[in-house]
Formats: sequence, C-alpha cells, structure tokens
Amino acid sequence: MFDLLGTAAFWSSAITGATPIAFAALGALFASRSGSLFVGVEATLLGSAFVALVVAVQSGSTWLGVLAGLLSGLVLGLVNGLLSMQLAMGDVVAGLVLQILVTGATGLLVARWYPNGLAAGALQLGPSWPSTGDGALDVVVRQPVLVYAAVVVAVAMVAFFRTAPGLVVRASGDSLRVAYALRVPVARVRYAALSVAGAITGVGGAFLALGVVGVFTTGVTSGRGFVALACVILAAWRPVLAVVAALLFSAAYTYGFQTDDASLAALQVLPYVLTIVVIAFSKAGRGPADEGKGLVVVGR
Amino acid sequence: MSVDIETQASTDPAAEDSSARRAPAVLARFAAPIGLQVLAFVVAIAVSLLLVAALGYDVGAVLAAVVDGAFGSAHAVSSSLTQAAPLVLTATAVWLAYQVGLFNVGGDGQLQVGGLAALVVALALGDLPGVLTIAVAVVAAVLGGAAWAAVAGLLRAYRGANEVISTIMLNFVAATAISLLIAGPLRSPSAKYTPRTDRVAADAQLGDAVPGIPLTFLVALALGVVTVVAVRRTSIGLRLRTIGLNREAATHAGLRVQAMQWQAFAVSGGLAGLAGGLVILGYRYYIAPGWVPAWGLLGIVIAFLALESPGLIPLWAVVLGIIGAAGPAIKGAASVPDAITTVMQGLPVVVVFLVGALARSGPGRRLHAALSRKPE
Repeated sequence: MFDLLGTAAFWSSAITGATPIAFAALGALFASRSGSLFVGVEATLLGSAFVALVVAVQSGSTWLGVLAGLLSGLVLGLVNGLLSMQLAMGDVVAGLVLQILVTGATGLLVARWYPNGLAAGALQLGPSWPSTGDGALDVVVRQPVLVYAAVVVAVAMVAFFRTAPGLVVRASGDSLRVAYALRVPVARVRYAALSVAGAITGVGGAFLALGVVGVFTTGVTSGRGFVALACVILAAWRPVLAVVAALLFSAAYTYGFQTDDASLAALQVLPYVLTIVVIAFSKAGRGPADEGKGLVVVGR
Repeated sequence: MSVDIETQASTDPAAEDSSARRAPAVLARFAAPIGLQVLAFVVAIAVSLLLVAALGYDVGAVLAAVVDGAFGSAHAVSSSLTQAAPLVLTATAVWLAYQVGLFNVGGDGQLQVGGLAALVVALALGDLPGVLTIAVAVVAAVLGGAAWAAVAGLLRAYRGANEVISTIMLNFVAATAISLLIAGPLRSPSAKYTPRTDRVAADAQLGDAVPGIPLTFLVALALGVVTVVAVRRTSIGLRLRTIGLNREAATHAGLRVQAMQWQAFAVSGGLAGLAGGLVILGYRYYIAPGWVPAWGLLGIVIAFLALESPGLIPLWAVVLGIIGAAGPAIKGAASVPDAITTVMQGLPVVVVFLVGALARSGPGRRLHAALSRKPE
C-alpha cells in the first residue's frame, strides 16, 4: 500500500520539494520569534522566485539568480514590515495586501517581458557532483547544495538564538513589556528580523524557481508560504524541527500526487489538519506570546 | 471605532430634538470618509496607469476597456455586478467577525465549501421545480460555509487556537478536497480532459432581476445591509461589539463571550458560504479547476477599506467588481496583461493606510483632518 515510500525517486522529489518550504519556514520562524506573524511569506516567496528566475535567465548564471532572490526577499520582508508597522495595517492585512500586489506585479511583468513564458531551461540548480552509483545513498548525499544550506541555516539559527542579539530578538516576540523595560528598540528589531526572514525566504523562492519548478507563473508558489507557517507551528518554533516538518509536508504532498490510489491522494490534506489539531490541542502550538500584536503594550 | 460611540450618543436627549441640525451632520458623516476613499481610488488607478504607461502599453486603451467593461452595455453592468456580489458577502463576513475581535481569513475556503454544498444539492434535487431547488441550495450554501467557519470559531473560543492560522489551513483543506472531489466522485461523465462537475439545471439558475442587475447582487446587498444594521442597531449587535471592543469588560458584564464569538464566526462563514452558493447558481453553474478567483482575499481588503464605515462595503465591492470584470476586455481589446487588475484592486487599501500613517506622523496631519473630519 505504501510501496512508494521505498523508492529513491519518491524521496528525492520529496526532499527537493521540501527545500523551498523549509527556507520559507525558517524565515517565518525567525520573524515569528521577533514577534511578527509573517503572513507575507507567501508574497515574498513568489516575488523572489520571479526576480531570481529573471536575473538567472538574463545573466545566464544560476547563482546570480539565487543572490537576486535573496536580495529581493530581503526587500519584500522589509516592505512587509513597513506595511504592518509604519502603515499600521497589522501583520495579517499587511501580508495579504503584499500578496495581492506581488501577484499582480509579477503577473504583469512576466506577461510583458516574457510573452512566451519564463523558464529556467538549462539554468537549473541540480546536484553539483557525480553520482556515487548507489541510488539510495545518492538521495542523501547528492542533492543540490541549497538543500544542505537549509539545514545549515536551521542550525545557525539555533545557535543565534543563544547569543545576546538572539536573546533581544526573542524578547521582542515573547514579551513586549519586558523588551521595552530593557530598552530594546522593538520596532527596529522586528524590521531587522523581517529583513533576515525575507532574505532566507528569498533563497527558498530562488530554489523553487531554479531547482524545483523551473518556470514562473503567478501560481507557482501554490500556497507553499502558508504551508511554511504551518511548519513553524508543527515544529513548535524550533528551527531544525521546522525543516523536518517541511519534509513531512512535502512527503505527504508528493505521495498524494504520485500515488495511483485515489483514497491515498487525500493524504495531501493531512498536514493541514495536523496543524489545526496542534494549535488547538497542544501546548506546543502556542507561539511567542506577543507575536502579531503590534508594538503597543495592551492589558495588564 | 469612534463611530460606534457616535451611534450610542444619539440616545443623548440634546441630540434627539434637533432633527434639522442632524441632517448636515449625517451628510458630513458619509461625505468625510468618502473623501479619503475617493482619493484612495484615484491614486490607485493613477499609479496603475503609470505602471501601464511605463511598460509601454496604451493607457487610453486600458481606460476604455475598463469604462466599456463597466458601463458599455447592460451585459457589461451585469457582469461587473456579478463579480461584486460575492465581494459584498465576503467583505461583510470579515467585517462581522472583526466586530467580535476575530479575523476571518477563511473566506475563500468557506466560499468554496458553500459553493460545493449548493452544487451538490442542486444536482441531487434536479427533478424538483427550480425555485425549490434554488431555495434549498442557498440554505445548503449558508450551512456549508457556516459549518466550515464554525470549526475555526469553536477552536478559537474554547481552545484559544489562532483563527488566522486555522482558517488559512481550512482554506487549503477545502481547496484540496474539492479538487479531489471533482476529479473523482463528482466528475462529470461528459468531462473529457479537464475534470469538472455536471451543470446546475437551467431552471435552477439565477439570472438578472432587471436587465443589468443580477439577482445575486440584490441578494448579497440585502444580506450585507441586514448584517450591518443588525450589528449596529440591535441589542445582540451591541453585545457583539462589546466583545470586540473589550473582551474582559464583556465577560464581567455577564455576556457569554465564547458562545457569541464562535456563533458570530459561524454566521460570518455563512455569509461567505452564501457567496459561493450564489456564484454557483448565478455565474458558474458548475465547478472546474480555478472556478473562483480569490474573492475571500479581496473581501478582507474591502472590509479594511470600510472598517469604520461599513456602508462603503457595497461601493468598494462594485468598484473592485468592475475592475475584476474588465480583465478580459483589458487583455483582449487593449492587449494588456489582465494582472494589472490585481494591482488596481490591491492599491486602494495601501493608500488609505498610508494617509492614516502620514496623519499620525505630523506633516500630513492637516490633509488627513480635511479629508476625514468627523462631525461634532
């Protein structure tokens, strides 16, 4: 019944499919720990996928594309912060408005500049070294470099949260009251965290365009950014677990997509249902206390 | 929220007796927010057209396509209002949930579940007279949307689960489930390549009430008005707003906060579900991949444009409906990518919040005061 789980091809596409989600989840997690609910992660993923692909195609260099994805993600994270804090839209409206604008703008530009479609062609991020000859071993050791980069970012984030600046970021998310008492410039911390979050997400967008899908349409992210928000919750706000959660989502989706058994296709909804169960019935589903509550201390 | 205080202030005897003095006050109350909204609309269109011009397209052709698509014929007006109908309902749904302090991001999922419920019922009752089928299908749409929202509402009220996250997840569950259903059990035998369901029978379809005005728009408008009036003018509405303004005070006042929160959220979902039902009965008639644009998302935008003055909901719904319906004309007659309509739809809310931010920051304070002065 679950024979797909034994095949190298299944795991290979599950892992590549998980990577953009993992980057987006790490970005959302970082923003979340600083107190921003990064609803604009979907918009950031879409915008950076577009910019990365355009730059890669125009320059002929995939790595310039990845860099462009990172930078555009940074800018979009910052814009998300401006909409949310400076314009006082709040995290949710800011993220959703950004999504509408990025969808419209990328749709317009791709139709103007690439009427025949925007595709990576040969410029895809593939494995950069030869096969070991063992299919199962290849699945683990012969992935594109950015797959391993996601794990490195996760570990680095764990380490960062233990440093003094990391503590400042966490304080901004866990308790506005304490952060202000310690003279933490909360707004600035959140802008900085959103920029970093956007940059990390931007790498995910670049990998989505150049390593997973290979073409750009305005539907290319198909909700992966929101899936990333779910990963943050399933992982109880722990970076390494967020990468594992991304793999779970990707595996469930890939399985539902690849299987011939129609009833097992329903597996695709499992991660979403699981997320709802976690936020409703698990203490682990509680995030940073002051996440998404703006910059003003309310209540006692 | 200051508008709420004004409505309560009308119980003040001094304000009651001078109906003559109230007339200009009422006028000012509607004129003031409209100034800001007109500015938002003009700036949004101007920026979009600049973008169109910068990309080397013909601005005049785009404008002509929008105007023609909006007012060119009875059919054009009808198709604009057909798009406005679901927007009125999804925006009212978001506005209603916001009154009890909750954020309904699940309009898209609730709309789709409502549409699915209406379709399944309409197909099952195909032999009944059309009017009866329509009535039952509409009820099914409301119940479907309400049930879908109630999941998030109950989990929020009794388990503290963030409704933003749960409604986003429920949107995905709805979309995935529907795409599996139309590829499987609900797939029409006559669908060749792209999976789709059967069509609603012709006598169960909703048309125009009078040429140019679709019935679905009238239904949506009526329900939107009823909802806003109920929240603003009834005792239940006062309780709901109390919960939204201060949950703790509402608890101390003896209100059943949790029950009212999830029930209001379910009604909110019912409105979005009805939007889906009307889309099926009056516009799409069957479900195929991509059968609805992100009307739930646009509903959120409209609700935040009209947060303080819900009377603006239908106005913005019509404006965004016109822009949305102009998409094919922009793409066809003007040969401009129809994605520009998405930009046009997203910009007004940015302008409104930008003006608000400028007003707070000082330099723009006078401008904002002039545009949104409240009557004494």
